[in-house]
Amino acid sequence: MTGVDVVERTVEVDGRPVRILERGSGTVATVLLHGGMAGHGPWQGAADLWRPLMEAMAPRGRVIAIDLPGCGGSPIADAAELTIAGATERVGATLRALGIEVAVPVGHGEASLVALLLARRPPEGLSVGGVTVIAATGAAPTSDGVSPVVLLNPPSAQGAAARTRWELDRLSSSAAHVTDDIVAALARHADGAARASAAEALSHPEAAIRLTTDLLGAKMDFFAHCRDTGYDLPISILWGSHDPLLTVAHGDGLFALLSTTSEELDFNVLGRTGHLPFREDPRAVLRILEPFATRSTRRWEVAR
Amino acid sequence: MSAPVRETAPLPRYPGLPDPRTIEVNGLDTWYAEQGAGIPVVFVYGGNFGSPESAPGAYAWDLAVDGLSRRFRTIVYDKPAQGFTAAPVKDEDYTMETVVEHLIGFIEALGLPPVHLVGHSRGGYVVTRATLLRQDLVRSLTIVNSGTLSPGIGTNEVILARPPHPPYSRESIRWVYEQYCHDRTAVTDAWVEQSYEILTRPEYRQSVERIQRNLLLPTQFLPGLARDKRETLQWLSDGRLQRPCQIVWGRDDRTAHPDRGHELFRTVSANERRTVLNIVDKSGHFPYREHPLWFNDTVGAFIEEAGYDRS
Repeated sequence: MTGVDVVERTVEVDGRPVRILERGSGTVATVLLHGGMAGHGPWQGAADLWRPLMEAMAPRGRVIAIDLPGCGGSPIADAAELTIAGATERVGATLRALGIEVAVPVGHGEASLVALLLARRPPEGLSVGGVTVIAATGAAPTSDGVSPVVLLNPPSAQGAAARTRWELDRLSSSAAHVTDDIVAALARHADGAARASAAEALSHPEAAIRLTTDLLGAKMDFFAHCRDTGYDLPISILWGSHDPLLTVAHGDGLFALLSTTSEELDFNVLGRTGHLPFREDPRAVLRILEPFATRSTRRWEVAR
Repeated sequence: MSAPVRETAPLPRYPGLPDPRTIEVNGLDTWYAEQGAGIPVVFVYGGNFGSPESAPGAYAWDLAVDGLSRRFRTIVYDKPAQGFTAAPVKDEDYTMETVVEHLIGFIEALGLPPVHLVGHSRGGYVVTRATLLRQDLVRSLTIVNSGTLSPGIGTNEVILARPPHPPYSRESIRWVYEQYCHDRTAVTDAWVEQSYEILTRPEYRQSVERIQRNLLLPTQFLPGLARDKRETLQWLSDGRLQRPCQIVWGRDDRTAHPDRGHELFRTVSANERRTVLNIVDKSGHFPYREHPLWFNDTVGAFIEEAGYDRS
């Protein structure tokens, strides 16, 4: 603990509430984007997942974890808000509403695509200094792979808390982080208005199909961008050695794909961690993430 | 003995490193330099004695010392028959075992508390073997692009076979390091000059000629290393390495492909939870020279976190 509290609040963005967890102040921010996005992932995430990492961070600069559309405390009105592009626009608008000028987005799971898209299409007034992706199920090449069965058979008839505990446990290598607090928080969100709004939007068959094709489309756009153009900002990839959803080889495939990046690029494998390394071993993640964010924003400031 | 020599003549030095000192280690007058305070970090460079094409030395670490001495007590030294350190007297001492024992003796001679070891290439083997033999002296370790230590086949001898330049020349040095690097402009004139200074020292040349004349590399050094490497890998598989371990790799190293870093990571991490693999893109064999900011941040953060004594 560092003595600087993590604060939970809701901001109005384009007339809709977006719930965030926040620590520190300033116009430069590390921005944490959770996996388990509504309509995309086989499990349900929220900003609360980042709390241990935020609390372990050095007490300098600003860090913001955002509930992505349809998750936590961020309800939606239209299924389009659940797309990768829709979520990216919402993240960009939220950061502008919070007065952020330089962001280092950190995308976990499917939200790796959101972080990487934000780097390509930031809203006016926002610059992206560098991108970190963690256990990047969204961005990693998985062509013709077998589908993971990790979350195939959730416990039946035991309520949201049991399902949440089962999900976090199944996704982890070490389950010490699966505390009553995080289970209660995620279970509360599972029964909340945001998830209900996402379920309502996806109850129309066309909407669900559109979202499935959206994820594939976003991946194709990302692959083509890497192949034909390449990123021009620093990128850092973090992977758990025991991620049950994707192997280290998948991460290495992403590393190869991103090697068209003209700036610094690294690939970091953390021993004995699963799909949630930032919860399973927050300090191991921070010793890569914090210096990266410092280097990335320093480069941006020099460029400016 | 020969103590008056170092009192009358100024010690040789590398331009980018702090003031030199010497200390006797296992009977060898050993050159070293240190800078900074805090956790002691000892750096072991790559390469071995007996090379007429290029000569490594403690100078390899100048960028690492510059960055990491702000946080740690950084210590660089020259290995036996390399750089400014004396050569063994007896032929049978031209072995990797001698180099490993010399590192252990160096840590003990300086009376250091448990150290963090950083070993590159052949030095990655040296620090790992030394740790396995004397874990009481070691706090944690970083292994950098070490084909010598990793399981699998090295391409080093293929990439560097028969340099197209004469031995003991600047051209030969430049060619060798350009084969190692991703970006050839990383091989600066200053780098070449430091290597050239070592390569053309009479003492160095005498040791190379002795090693060549008596066939010490093919008949003794390499077979001994191959034998000890088998045992070292077995020890790693058995879980005898019980210190936090960082494996750092440049992705574009043609002499030690990153696959070998992955395999080393799998071997070590199977038994040591606190193992991490950090691979940097657009870097060859020398990530600490091609990406010094990244290297110093990545290694520095690991060292600070690695001890079991932090509050």
